[in-house]
Amino acid sequence: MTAFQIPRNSLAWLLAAQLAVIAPHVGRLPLWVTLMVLGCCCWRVMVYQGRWSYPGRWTKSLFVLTGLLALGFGYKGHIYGLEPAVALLVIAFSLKLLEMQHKRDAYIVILLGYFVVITEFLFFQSIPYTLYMLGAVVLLTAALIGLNQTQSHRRPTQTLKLAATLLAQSLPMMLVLFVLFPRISPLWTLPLESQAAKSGVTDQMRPGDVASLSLSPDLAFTVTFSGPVPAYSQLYWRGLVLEDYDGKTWRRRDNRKDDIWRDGPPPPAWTGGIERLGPATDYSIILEPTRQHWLFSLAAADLPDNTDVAMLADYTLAYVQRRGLTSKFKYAVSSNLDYRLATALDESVLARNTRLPAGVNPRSRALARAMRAASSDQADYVRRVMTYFNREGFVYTLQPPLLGDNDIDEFLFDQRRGFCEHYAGSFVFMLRAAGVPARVVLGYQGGEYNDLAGFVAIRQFDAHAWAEVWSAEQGWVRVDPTQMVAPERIERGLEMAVAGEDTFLADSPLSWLKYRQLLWLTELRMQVDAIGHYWDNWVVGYNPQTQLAFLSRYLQDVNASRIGMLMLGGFFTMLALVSLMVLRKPNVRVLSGVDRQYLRFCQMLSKQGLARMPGEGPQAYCERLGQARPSLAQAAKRVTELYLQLNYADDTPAKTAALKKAVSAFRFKALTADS
Amino acid sequence: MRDVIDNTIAQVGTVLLGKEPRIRLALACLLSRGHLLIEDLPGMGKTTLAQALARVLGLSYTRIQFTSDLLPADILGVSVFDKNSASFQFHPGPIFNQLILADEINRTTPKSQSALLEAMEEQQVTVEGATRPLPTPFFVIATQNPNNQGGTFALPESQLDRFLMRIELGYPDPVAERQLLRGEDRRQVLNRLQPTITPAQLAALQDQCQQVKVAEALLDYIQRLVAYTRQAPEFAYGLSPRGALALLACAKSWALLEGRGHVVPEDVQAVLPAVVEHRLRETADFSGHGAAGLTQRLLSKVDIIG
Repeated sequence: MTAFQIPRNSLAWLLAAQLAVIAPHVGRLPLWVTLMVLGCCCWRVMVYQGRWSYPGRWTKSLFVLTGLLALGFGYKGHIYGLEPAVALLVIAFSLKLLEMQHKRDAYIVILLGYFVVITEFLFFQSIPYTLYMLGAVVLLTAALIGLNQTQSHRRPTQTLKLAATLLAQSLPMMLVLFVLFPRISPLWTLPLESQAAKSGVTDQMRPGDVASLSLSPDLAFTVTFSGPVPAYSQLYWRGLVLEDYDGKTWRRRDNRKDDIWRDGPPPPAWTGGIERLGPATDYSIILEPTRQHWLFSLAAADLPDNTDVAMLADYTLAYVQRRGLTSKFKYAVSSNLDYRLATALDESVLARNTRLPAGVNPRSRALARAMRAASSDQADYVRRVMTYFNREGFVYTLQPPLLGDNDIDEFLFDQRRGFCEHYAGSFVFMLRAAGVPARVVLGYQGGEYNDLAGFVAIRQFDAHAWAEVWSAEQGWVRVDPTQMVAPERIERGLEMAVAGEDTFLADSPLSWLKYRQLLWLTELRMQVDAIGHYWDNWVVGYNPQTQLAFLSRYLQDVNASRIGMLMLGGFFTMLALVSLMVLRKPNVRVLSGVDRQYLRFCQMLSKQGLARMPGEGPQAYCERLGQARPSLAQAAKRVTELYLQLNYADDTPAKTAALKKAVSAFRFKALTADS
Repeated sequence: MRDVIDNTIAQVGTVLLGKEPRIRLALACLLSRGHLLIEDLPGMGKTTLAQALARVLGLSYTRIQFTSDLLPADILGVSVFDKNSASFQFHPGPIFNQLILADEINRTTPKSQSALLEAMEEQQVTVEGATRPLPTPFFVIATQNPNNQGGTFALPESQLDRFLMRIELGYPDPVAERQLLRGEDRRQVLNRLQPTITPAQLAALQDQCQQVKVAEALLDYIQRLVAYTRQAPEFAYGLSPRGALALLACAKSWALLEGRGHVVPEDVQAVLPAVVEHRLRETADFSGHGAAGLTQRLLSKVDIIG
């Protein structure tokens, strides 16, 4: 057996590609996997240099066994996830390096590399990562090309250039396939582990929760309005309604967890409880992956035309797939900013929304009772509570003090420093203590309008909590006690509201959202955001629905045969363009006048079966003519002599008149001779 | 002048029967101040052609028979101690002549072959540190047996390149051969040959060759020919610029021999095989069979009209 040595060119690019492909995974993989990858690379280089030999059968078995065992221990408890699968793939990818003895093995390693590139997209979909991955694909392709070059090929950059050219040439085909190839929803999915951390708002609220969220500049979602953008203070993005209170924590209704998204969603009966008054506002939202089920919308949302979305009894939207949102999710909603919600309410719901645990916060209860006794009716009482927040020296701060057991008492009477969840929580407590149905709503408020791409970006620091109060006449009405304390928060956003205390994004000194006073930086950020938005909208968010919508805009009837024809059409158009380029002659002949006249003469004879051969000189041709057609010999000789004289002796190809005359004379002669 | 040329060709033709085109080629080569390589089987008249040319051109002539034990000093000359003057006296070798017949040049070793190199290229020789000029005009007519014959050292490409032309004589046609068989001894005919041209006339002719007009259209044609050899895959390597210059020079001389003051494509075509065949190699030709087919292909593929 002849030992196959993989060409050095290929090996170099393959190792480079391998490192490039695995690098983005490093943060997510256990350290020992990274070390194993590096070790395998080094070993392979040693093998190439002839210092070490390939590992033996037992060593290889040991490596595989160790890898599997380590994987099992490292991912104990969640071995059936996507991450262990990726780790397994990476281990296999690097171990195969040590077995790369034949060309076939090298092909397998390169194909595995392409596969690892695809797994990156399970975790990252942004533009920079996509470009990086394209670079990794170029490296892999260079390795593939290098594999088919000889051992003596010493110009690796040329191989890389060739790979880049090949891939650049395949870009148009990639676009055609991206747009037209039918998109299939995945048959099964594996849970992702690492994204739980950046989930945004959670389904319970304790003092301090939202404030900690407000430290993050991460994007929560973007909204594109089809009409004009409503006023900033109108942008209350409802996410969760918290109705249960245990004296410390506000929670969603317990039974909300399972019922909706288990079986397909029939339109719920309670959607009838919405009375729409004003004109509808249409918008679409691209939500970042949260691994949760709740979706955000303005109040009085319509149930979107999307089988993955359901509406809950508290008029919030929910994602029905059990695994939650593991990738960006786009949905279109229609809301009415003037509305009336649920003017008739069940006893059980009423009871739930006035229930308070016994014994906690006695001072607040006493205050509530006193204020209620002084008020004329429920609406007057709500106003009085709001005024209380305004008058008693409350401070809006991102650094609220820690509170003890009777936290609302402490907040209302002693500290009076708090964030929106303190105000919303204590406000709802005060109302419930006086028997008024009220609940906490968690979501986001505000957003930043990007006028380059026309969307509103809502970030984690826009997280907000407010209250909803029910009355028989008006149903659930939004009341925001934070507005009484810090109206800037509602009108202009968090940064203005906490401008005095220098806590805005205190943990992210490098976030460019901090430097809004630098106009050029803001401009640049807006542009980057706009590009990212288009990317999310058209590339990442290009799913079966949007594909269908996009295609039906240009095709009356979207069906398999039409799409197939379109794809073939695109393919052949490109093929035609390529062949046109190939067929185009590299340089066009520029003929002098004399040459043209002489060629005219040759053409005349060629019609009579006496074509001049390409390499046949004028004299030889003339001689042949004389033998073939003696009657024309004289005239032909005249043309040839003139041509030779003008073209080679006088070197004046511009003077064509005489030759033209001679050729015409020859033509006359030829015609008369024929007849 | 025209009569002189025709007379010369006719005179040589009396010795070498039926080979007028070859004689013309050889003459064109000499008029272009180039050296000539004649390759053919033994007994085809190579030496006869060289001798005849020497006689009619009135040049001093020597013949060096190349053998495997020939040394450079045998060609260039050697210094011998002279008792009378008590000093070394340089005895010029056979190279100090106007026309050298290097017979069977590929039978000698590369060392002796290369002794000819400087002489052919620089028209001077350097022996024992002293550079000595060679007489003017200086021609080398080398003959060689086909490479596949026994006891030959193939000339390397670099040395082949010094020869402006390589021609083959070929068998005579039956009529000429019959005349040869009937006629008297060639050697006597050769001895009767008289110079037909004076050295001054020869120099004038050589100068005239350079005056022949070359039109742009013709240069285009030559460049197309050269470009084709460089691009087409069947050529192992293309013609060098020296090859292109050689082609042009020979075409000019040929035009002069034809009695024309300007070069036409047929002149180029006439000299092309002799000028380029030994400078080219076919890609698939590993044993060095020559490029005869290749030049025919070159001639038929490249159009004379741009």
